[in-house]
Amino acid sequence: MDRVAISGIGIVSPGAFGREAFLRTLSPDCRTDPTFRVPEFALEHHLDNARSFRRVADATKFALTSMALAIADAGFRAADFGGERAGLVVGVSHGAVTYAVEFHRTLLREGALSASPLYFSESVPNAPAGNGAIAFQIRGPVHTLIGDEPVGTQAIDLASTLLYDGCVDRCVVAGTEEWNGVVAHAYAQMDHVHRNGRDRGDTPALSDGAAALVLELESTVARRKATPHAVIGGWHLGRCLAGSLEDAMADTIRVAFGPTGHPAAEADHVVPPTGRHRRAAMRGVGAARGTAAGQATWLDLLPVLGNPMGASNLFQVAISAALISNGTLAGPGLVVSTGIQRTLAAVVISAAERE
Amino acid sequence: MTSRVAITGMGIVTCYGIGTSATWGKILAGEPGIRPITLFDTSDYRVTRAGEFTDLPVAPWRRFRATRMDRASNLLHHALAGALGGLDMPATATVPVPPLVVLGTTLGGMTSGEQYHGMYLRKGPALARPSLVVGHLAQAQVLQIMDEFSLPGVPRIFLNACTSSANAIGHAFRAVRGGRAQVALCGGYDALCVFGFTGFHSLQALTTDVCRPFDRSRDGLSIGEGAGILLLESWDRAQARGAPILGEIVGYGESTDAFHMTRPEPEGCMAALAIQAAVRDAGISAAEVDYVNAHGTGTPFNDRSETAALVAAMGERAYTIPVSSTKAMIGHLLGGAGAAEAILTVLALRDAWLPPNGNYQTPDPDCALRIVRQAERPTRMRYALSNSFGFGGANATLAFRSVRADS
Repeated sequence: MDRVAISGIGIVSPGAFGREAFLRTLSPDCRTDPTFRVPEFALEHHLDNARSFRRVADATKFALTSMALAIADAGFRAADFGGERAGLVVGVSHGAVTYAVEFHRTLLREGALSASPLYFSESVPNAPAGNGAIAFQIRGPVHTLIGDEPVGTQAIDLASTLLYDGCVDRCVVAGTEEWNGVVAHAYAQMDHVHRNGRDRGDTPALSDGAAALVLELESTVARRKATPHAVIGGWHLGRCLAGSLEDAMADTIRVAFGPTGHPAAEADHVVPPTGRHRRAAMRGVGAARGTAAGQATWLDLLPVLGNPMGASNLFQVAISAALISNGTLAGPGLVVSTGIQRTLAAVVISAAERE
Repeated sequence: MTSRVAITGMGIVTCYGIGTSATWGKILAGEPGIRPITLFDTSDYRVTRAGEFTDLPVAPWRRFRATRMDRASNLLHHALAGALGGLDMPATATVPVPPLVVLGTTLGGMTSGEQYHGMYLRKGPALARPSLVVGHLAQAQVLQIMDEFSLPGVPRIFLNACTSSANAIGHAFRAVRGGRAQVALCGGYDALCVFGFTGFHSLQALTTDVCRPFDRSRDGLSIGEGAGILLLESWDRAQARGAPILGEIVGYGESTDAFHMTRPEPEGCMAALAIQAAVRDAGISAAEVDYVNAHGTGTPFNDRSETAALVAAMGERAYTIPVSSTKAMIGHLLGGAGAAEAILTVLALRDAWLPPNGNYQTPDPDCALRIVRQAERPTRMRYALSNSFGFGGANATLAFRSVRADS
């Protein structure tokens, strides 16, 4: 069966722009700003028509840049990527929340007539996707999905369906998030674990950034004589309504590995979650791989990334694909994600040549 | 292998009330549902009316504290209970086959978010109530309702502005037709809230008079609130269990303007592609389309662009197909609009009645369509389309077939 290939990777992280730069931030001697915020940058450096987007929110700015990087990385000229056979799926948890907060603050403090329409129209959750469609003239299906951290896998799932159904030839999937003080405070309040001073490792700091992938079917990539970074061997989404999250995670991983024909024990690297419940999820990884499994490399992005919520899952997939692509790791890689609402995702990333 | 897709349950909540009969009867009667807003103080606004569900009853929550549920969650609960009524079982029972759940919204639990942020600013961050944050998360209402109705799995939640629920229905339709799901619950919801109302107010998109889709004197939309849920099943499964089949979804098309965040592309070129794709997907021709439930917001831009799209997609036939927008009566339900209007389209096919385009008085040469002024009996009613267009340039069209066509 034609597999879904990752042909382009675009990263906007607190410490790096682009795939190679992001890989360098994983080095132990590389230090990331502990606030995990993406530094100020000019969109003009990444986008030809940047002036049209000068008023967009940070989440949109990050998304547009990551999309531009991914499209270029896949070997497309930005002007050639779009059209009716191109799609875009963006996953967010909060999106352009700073504009939304500002709009509401003005409304409450200064009255309805003072609220700026810009802060409304650019705060809607599909603003990154809508602007992305305009920037790259993507005229096929353009969708925004919302969820907690595993929403990146949902975006992959939807994009893959669009590819397999023949609706599109190429699809950008992106995750984007911007840090906001009200949101960070709200999560801190919700985090009973954090508040009680227990298990602080399970309450990662919120951060911002965006990750984008260009997905195509392997046959499509081959037809245009390009080389994919990796393929998506399998994926699965689950939710732990009751019982052990560890067991649910293990089941999710086993289902994700199903289409690969290989057991989870063969994963040579694991990218653990950056969100809540990560310890239970990591125990689930151990359970799924079994005691006989060989040593795997654990690529924990939390120290370099923080937790960029809706963007985190695609960062994880991107790093696994990038390391397989440059030969650092052979694969398959196992990406696991967990959300505050006990949603779970597992994605298997394999080398493109692997049968 | 593909399957025909039957609609075996529908639940709708609008400003008229809960359930299909509450809304459908008043729509056909042309009864205006847009009234002065009671939910919040509008003395600071130029516009003071909306399609509010006054005295919305709190849903009978079993697993959650009812007083803590967001208004959007209650709308969704009522609509889902209505849709599951089609399974001939108590609404709180477990659905026999785990359904795919695909929903759309624009603002999610914004009412809770507004309350939280208001407390944050007035009382200080430490005194803002954290439980409101849970209700605010846009996925929260869907996860709550899945827990409440014992629906397993992970939902897919579209936030594609005003096409959200049309996209949700379209993707659920494709999943059932393609055999990826046997049963799907799909639709969308949005509650009237200060944030959304003020947003459209700030864009000067709201009418200060009455919403008059396709009328020459139209000057804006009316916001509404509500929810719509459809239960989809493969045709064979629905027949095997003897379910009453209310209608059939036969096509779906989607496209993107890639033009502007809030304005539609004036020539309607990409919207036309969505319409054409839905008609083609249905395996029919434009000549076979007997009714179009238009997006018809009542804004000057939208209705002109939608007219252009219909003409581009259907040629001369566009001028003779009966067209109406139900937004003049129930308002624009935002994330719930596509679902509510899909349900009204199915009811129009089921009963062979064309719903009127409320408040229509003066034809606009730029919108020279065959607008349905009063509820009327069509000469033929086999296939109908429902259009949805939204911020970000999203276009979606659903195609439905009457089950009466089988008899």
